[in-house]
Amino acid sequence: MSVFTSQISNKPWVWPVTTLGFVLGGLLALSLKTQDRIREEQVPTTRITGLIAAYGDMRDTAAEQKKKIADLQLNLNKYQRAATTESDTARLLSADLQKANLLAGTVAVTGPGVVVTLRDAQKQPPQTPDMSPETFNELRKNFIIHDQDIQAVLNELKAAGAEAISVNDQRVVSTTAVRCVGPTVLVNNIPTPVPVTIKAIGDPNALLSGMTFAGGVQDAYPDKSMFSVDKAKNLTLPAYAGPTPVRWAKPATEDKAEQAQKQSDEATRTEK
Amino acid sequence: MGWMPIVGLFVGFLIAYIFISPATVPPGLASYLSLAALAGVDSICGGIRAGIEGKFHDDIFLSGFVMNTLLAGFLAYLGDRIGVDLLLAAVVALGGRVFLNLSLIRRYYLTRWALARKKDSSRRCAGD
Repeated sequence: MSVFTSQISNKPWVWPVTTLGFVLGGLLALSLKTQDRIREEQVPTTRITGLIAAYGDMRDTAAEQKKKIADLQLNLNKYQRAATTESDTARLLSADLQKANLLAGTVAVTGPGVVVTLRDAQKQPPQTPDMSPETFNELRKNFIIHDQDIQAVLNELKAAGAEAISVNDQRVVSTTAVRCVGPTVLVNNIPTPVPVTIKAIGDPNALLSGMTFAGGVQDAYPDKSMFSVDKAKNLTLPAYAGPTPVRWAKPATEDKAEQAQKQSDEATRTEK
Repeated sequence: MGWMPIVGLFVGFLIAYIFISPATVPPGLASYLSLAALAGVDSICGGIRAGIEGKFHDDIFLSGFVMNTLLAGFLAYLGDRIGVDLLLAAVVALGGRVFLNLSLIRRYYLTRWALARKKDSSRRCAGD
């Protein structure tokens, strides 16, 4: 009798199979439930379409919340203004607060100024046949707007006395960073597409000459179409709508402030 | 009697679905569980086929069910750890076996049905 024939039997098979079928049913149900929950709660890690959808959702929520912050800030300003009617001291305080808010960028502002527009160049850099692709790519970099270009303009605008600046309607505040992440420029951590429109409020003539003086930012571009600046009579810049957490900095005590002031005085003296 | 396992499957599914609803497996282990379930399906199909062919042994069946289920999960885990997608290999192998066994079971029942019909009709002829 071979091994195989010894296994042939007519034992009842239905009940054991049914029992394990029962167990398997449980297993399947558990699996199904788990997958359902994953689909509901979690970003599917392996499906790129799921990730895209999740990204879209997140972006929408972020936009919504930003709007909410802007609304709340508007309300806050209203309350502050309402408080001025209370008393003279309150009025004085409120005036100070309004000024501080203007400089801090937490209120929308309006006024005259300039609009600077930065674009990627339409044309390609001149290419000679003996040029290696590396050099050509290196040259081509100058024909694209980078975060440094935006930074340079911001810097020059501030030096020319700009009181409020926005980059593609993102208000520039003291904590604003302009930086590249991969191919996109982030301003206030929000992706900013090219063309970049920089609005600045201040003395239009001063700002304009700050932008156009010889050897300044304007002359850094190889193609004239990349940079344009125009005076504007009436600009309105939005309030900064990002988070404003202050966790580390505290107002200094009087003696420490005095000390810092002394140091600063000394530093300016040695420079003279 | 051949349909009893299917009934068992449904009953088990329903009971588990209704009563264990809050308890689920952590998402990281979900793919292993799915694979284990597939291995279970394979075992059940294999069991039915063995039963039909008269080769059914309950000890082999039971150990096969348990071992295959655990082994499939473990293999997938191992594959994850060493960076080879063994999950896919297991799915392909088990899936192929499930289809093979199902086709054999179908063939068996279809043949039996055809035979019974032939007998039936011949009896009717004889009755005429």
